[in-house]
Amino acid sequence: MGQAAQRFELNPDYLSGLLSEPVVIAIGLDRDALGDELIHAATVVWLEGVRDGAATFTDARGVVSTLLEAPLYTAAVLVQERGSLAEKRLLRWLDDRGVTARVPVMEWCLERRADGIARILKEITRLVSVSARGRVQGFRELSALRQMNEDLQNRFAALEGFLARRGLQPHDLVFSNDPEIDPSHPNLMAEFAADGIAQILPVASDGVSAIGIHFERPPLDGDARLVAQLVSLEDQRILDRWVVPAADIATGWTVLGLTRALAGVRRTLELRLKLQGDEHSLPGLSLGGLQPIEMFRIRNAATGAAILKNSLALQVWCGLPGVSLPGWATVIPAVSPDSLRDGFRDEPVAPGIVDLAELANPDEVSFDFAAVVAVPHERGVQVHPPATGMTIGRLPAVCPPHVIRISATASVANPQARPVDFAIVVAADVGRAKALFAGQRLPMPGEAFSGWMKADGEDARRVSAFMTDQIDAWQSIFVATRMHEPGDNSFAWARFSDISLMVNE
Amino acid sequence: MTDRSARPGVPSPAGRPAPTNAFRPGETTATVAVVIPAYKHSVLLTEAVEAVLAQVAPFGIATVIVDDGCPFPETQEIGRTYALAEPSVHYLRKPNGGLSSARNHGIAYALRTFPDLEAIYFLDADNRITPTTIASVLAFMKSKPNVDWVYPNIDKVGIGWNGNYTADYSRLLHLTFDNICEAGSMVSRKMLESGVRFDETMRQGFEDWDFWLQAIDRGFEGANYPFFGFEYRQRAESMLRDSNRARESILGYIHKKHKRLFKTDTLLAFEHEETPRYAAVGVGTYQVETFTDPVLPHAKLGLEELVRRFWAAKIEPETYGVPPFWVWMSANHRDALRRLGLLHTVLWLGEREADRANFVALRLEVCPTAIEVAVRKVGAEGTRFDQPAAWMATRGIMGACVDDPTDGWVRSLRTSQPGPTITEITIKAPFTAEEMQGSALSATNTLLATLGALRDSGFRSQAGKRWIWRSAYLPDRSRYHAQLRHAVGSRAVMPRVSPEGGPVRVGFLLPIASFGGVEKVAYAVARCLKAAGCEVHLYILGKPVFARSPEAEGVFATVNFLADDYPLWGGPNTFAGHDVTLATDPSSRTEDLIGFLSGLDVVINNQVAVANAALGALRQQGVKVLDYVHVLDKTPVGRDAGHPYLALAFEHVYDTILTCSRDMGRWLHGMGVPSAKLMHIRNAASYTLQPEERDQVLAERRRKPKSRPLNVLFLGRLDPQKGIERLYAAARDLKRRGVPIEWRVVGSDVISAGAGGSWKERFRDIGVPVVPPIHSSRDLNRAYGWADVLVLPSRWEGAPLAILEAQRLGCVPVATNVGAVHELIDHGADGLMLDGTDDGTIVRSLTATLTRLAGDLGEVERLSEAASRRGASATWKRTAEPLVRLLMSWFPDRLAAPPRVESLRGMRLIRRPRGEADPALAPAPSAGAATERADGPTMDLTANAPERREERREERSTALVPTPPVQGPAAKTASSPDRVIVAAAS
Repeated sequence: MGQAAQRFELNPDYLSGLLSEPVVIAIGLDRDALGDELIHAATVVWLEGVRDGAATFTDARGVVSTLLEAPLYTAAVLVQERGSLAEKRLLRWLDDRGVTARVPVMEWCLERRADGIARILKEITRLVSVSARGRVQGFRELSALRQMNEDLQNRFAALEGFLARRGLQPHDLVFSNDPEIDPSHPNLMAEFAADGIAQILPVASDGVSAIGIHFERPPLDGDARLVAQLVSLEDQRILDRWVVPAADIATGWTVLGLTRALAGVRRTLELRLKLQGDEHSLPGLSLGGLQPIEMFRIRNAATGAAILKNSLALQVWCGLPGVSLPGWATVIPAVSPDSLRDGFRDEPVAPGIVDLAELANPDEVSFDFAAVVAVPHERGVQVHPPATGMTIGRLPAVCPPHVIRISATASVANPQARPVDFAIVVAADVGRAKALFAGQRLPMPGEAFSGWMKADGEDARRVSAFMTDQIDAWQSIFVATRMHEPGDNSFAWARFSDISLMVNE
Repeated sequence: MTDRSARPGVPSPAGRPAPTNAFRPGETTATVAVVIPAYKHSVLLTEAVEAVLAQVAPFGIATVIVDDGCPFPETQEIGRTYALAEPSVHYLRKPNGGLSSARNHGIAYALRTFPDLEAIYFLDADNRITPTTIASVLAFMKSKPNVDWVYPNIDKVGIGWNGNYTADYSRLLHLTFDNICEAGSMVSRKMLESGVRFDETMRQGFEDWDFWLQAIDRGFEGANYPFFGFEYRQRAESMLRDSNRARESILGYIHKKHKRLFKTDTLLAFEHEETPRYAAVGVGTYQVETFTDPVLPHAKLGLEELVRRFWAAKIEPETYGVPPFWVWMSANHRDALRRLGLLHTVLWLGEREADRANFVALRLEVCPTAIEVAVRKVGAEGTRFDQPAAWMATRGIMGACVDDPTDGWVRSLRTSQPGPTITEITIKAPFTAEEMQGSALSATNTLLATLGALRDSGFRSQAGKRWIWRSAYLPDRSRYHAQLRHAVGSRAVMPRVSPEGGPVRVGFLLPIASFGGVEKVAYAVARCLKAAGCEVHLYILGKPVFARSPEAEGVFATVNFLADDYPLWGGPNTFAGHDVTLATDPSSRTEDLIGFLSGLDVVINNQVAVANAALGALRQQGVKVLDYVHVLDKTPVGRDAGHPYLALAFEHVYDTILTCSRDMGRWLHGMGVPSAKLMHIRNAASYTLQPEERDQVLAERRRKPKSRPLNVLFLGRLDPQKGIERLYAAARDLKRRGVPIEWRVVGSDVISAGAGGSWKERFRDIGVPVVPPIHSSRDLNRAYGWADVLVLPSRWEGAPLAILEAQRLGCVPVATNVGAVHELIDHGADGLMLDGTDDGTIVRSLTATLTRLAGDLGEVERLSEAASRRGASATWKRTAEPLVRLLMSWFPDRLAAPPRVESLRGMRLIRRPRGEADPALAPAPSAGAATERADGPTMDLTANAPERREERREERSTALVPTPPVQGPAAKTASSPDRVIVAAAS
């Protein structure tokens, strides 16, 4: 390397970079000998030497890195002449690190680079074939699993039918903590109305089909509601929810039935109860006896701290795992999540979603490189603005119903770039999207438009598009960039990253 | 760090297009790294990786796959594929080195790659975690500053099982039960940076156990997070693996590697901190204190909290616990027992007896002259039961009383004929009136009130309902003392915790604690060791009485009584004509003794024969074991017998055998004991005497009239060993012949008078008065001061203390030349020896000698002067020095050798510990000197007399500053092998 090397020994950024992509290692060949085509096509590093168990490499920009680990994938080792000491040291170093896969070593000279490239191409072709075989194998296994799943479904259905016909479906009381009168806490729910209360259940999750809670006084006002959630503590999943109008609560046991009896890996369950409405109108929730173990006492749902020395008076019912409650069970059914409006959650999009990114207006924009590129590890999309007009990227049919908002961070990855405008639209097709981007109409139900937001190489901005009204259909997401001042689009590496959807639980 | 100027088609600053494929920076902002070792789990690996990628956390999580040279190409393909596709996934490959090696590789990589890393989670390739695991576990760990690793409950998939590990973390349990921390735990960066790593030599399993033990050793602590979300895949082979095929050999390795952790002291300290063994309810106050060692800082709580814990333990026994032994005692009584060094032994006895009876009653009585313990079963003799000062019982019996629908049975404790079985332990000791005041309060009422609180508790409503749904795996938390016992190999373990780095604890074992020579020597040596910085404890294995002696007063930190039906001699096996007990014999009571003697660094057995059988097990635990041999006894028909033979039988048990005479050392060596194991501790007078007291006695002696009867003293047991028949015969003959002798016989009959009647009466019949034994230094001084001659016509002896004590006060010893008497008397110079073995010869010789001395008081005076000089030269401080040095070599960090300064005729004599060189002085030549062990001096068996040896040692180890010259006998007293420098006194 003729240019002055920049040292980044043991620089974690570069080290892990080298360990996360395929590389071509050149030994004893200078840059001119390799040719620009190869350097542009692959990540090439030059071996500086191996010493004390570490290998030192320089990349095309002169960044020097010293590695203790073998590179993730060595596509090829290019040497001037086979058998040099440096080559042997490199191969031994790789071998010491457990790299057993064959590393192709080839003599490289500029004049015969077609031969070299042909060998590399051959290797890549082989890898593509291997990869294809692997994918096919995966498809085959997936297909077999689908068939097995269908078979199980049918068998379960038959079993369910049999149990229903014969009235054999179990619905058993497996635990009961009977109520005890404690006049010192006449209205537990009212006292902890703000945070709600929580009670860990004394049984494992599998088979749990209903939970009974006990009220010692009838309600005073029918407008209030008791919201109950059943959560599995090992993964914090909300398994079921209930909204119980006070009018439905009578003195005695109120049994909350699950959509279906719980199945799968056994978890610890926690019942969370919260009041909505007039706190003085609710009936009094009954307590069980004094509980010596703090973990099983009634706790503040927000802080987790025990608030009484008692546990709740409760019942736990179990049925056949994975099966709905029998019709004869008298329970309050769980509610579907969309009937509640008390929880918003910002969900990042899956990397697989952004992989679907494509150029939506190829008729208007053309580059000699891809104008829209997915950046999965950033959950983002790179959208290069043209000198004039806009580049629109599309994520087809990825926006589910019930989305409240879509957001992304807009940034330009070069300080020399001029400011760029960013915008997001949710719409059914590119025609509707273009109209929104152009400001020719307002969003309709099920659509969203963020408006244009300026960002430059210095500052990243968060762009958000809010849905007008929700519709029960999947929409496409469109992301667009344009130069804030049409003209020079040099260095304008515009990118939407950290794309997320706010959903209503 | 990316060069953001690079863009397709845009010239780079260097004038040529920038490469599109320069290094891409990897993700290095992880807060937690999940290390997944992969070997032959190529497919399941994807589940583990996906489980990590699915984590929901407000911080970065890196996945580090360490391919441990897996021979399946698929592993490499999957690892690479994930690393190419997911920036947070790092794939490392290394030659196969085993699970430990792979995890360590991942640790090293993560620590050097992720600067913001806070913790590492270890996930095996075939296991899974839920999406919230990393975030919730890290938050849990950060909420507990003292916790550096967090471990899960075990939820198994495959062969399904859910194990409850929710109990508070216990190092005691982790050491004595099983590996209670799954490798799938989160570990803090701090702990890993301290050097804790997986042992790469352990390839058969339990490497994770060893990993946690390393952490304990470095002072880290773990905690269980009950809602972890860890899923352990259990398959048939892993089931087999878990069946611990190689468990024993691996455990052996772990025990050796972590010897310090497995020491009884360490385990006891953990028990005290984590699951204290005793709950003491204050009589009258109802304040509850929980402890194992009552003198260490410990927790205090209210009775209500004890009740809550009791019910929690009853409902979830493997998760919650209470102390297994409960005590109801007043603070006054506890303080009194502590003051007298009896508290530990009383707790130990109470624990032992609580396992045998329903209740243990503790009674305290005042006794000014002795400390005494008596153990009896109440009601066995039909005697009336009086209310005790304190009670002890097990948690189990309390639980049974709580479950009993009526309480009549337990309430009968108030009566004189109680229903429960009761063992009564009576402690007689010099309690003060103030200390006894606590007796006015009723321990029985406190016990019954405690029981009432348990029975009437509202927590009772939960009885029988188990709330924790996972299966129990851990042992009953109220019974960790059983784990401790099992680990130590004992029954009740003495609850005395030795603080790390504290004084060396030396236990003196005695069969009885009366006024015999063996006891006196033990007390004297104990005094020296205490002065050297040791903490000395007395263990009485026979009759549980400690006769208070001025020489033992204030010496022992504690006095401990076995107080059981323990044989002091004999056994079902024979060795060289001796009945002996081996460790495998039930009568050895090995388990009892190991528990009784636990917590000691050094045990010195002073002639407790059967204890030999148990001491081997103690030595295996790292305790230094010494034997103190005094005398070779004779059977009635004259055969050599006694403890020296037992020393031969159990020689391998002992690190060192102490002898009171060179003669005994030579005998043991001749019988096969290596000289390196022998150490001679020359006897000295058993009690201390101030120089002015001695001078006064000697002055009075010199003022005695020149013409008067010879005063002859006998001091000792009136038994055949002491040659009492010989003494009687000689006295009768001398009386008959009218030789002018005043007699005084001090002692008492110790065996049945037999056909001849008691010796006391027989001596009285010939006009020789017999007075009872004397023990105080004042009485002894008076007796020796009165006597011109001490007669000792013994049939066998060791190195009698009486000779040394008599000589010190100018009383001339006339003794049979047996045992090591010749080492104490220079015949004709400072005493007289009677040669011969048959009684007739000895009687004639004694009669002639006394006749001669009665007629020549000048000779008596000459002998007396020499004897007094010799007697003054022997002090225990000097003679016990080799033993002190030996202990210093064994415990260099805990028993430092301070430089000693003594006055030497106007000079300052500074002794430096060996090895501490004075640069101004060259080492003294040591040609011909006996070699010495690194850990202590070897007995020089070639020297004829101790004085001669001391001179030689002085020659080789003493360097004197040229001026002023040192002359006279005082120069001879420098007997230490330490380097000695004499400098001019300032």
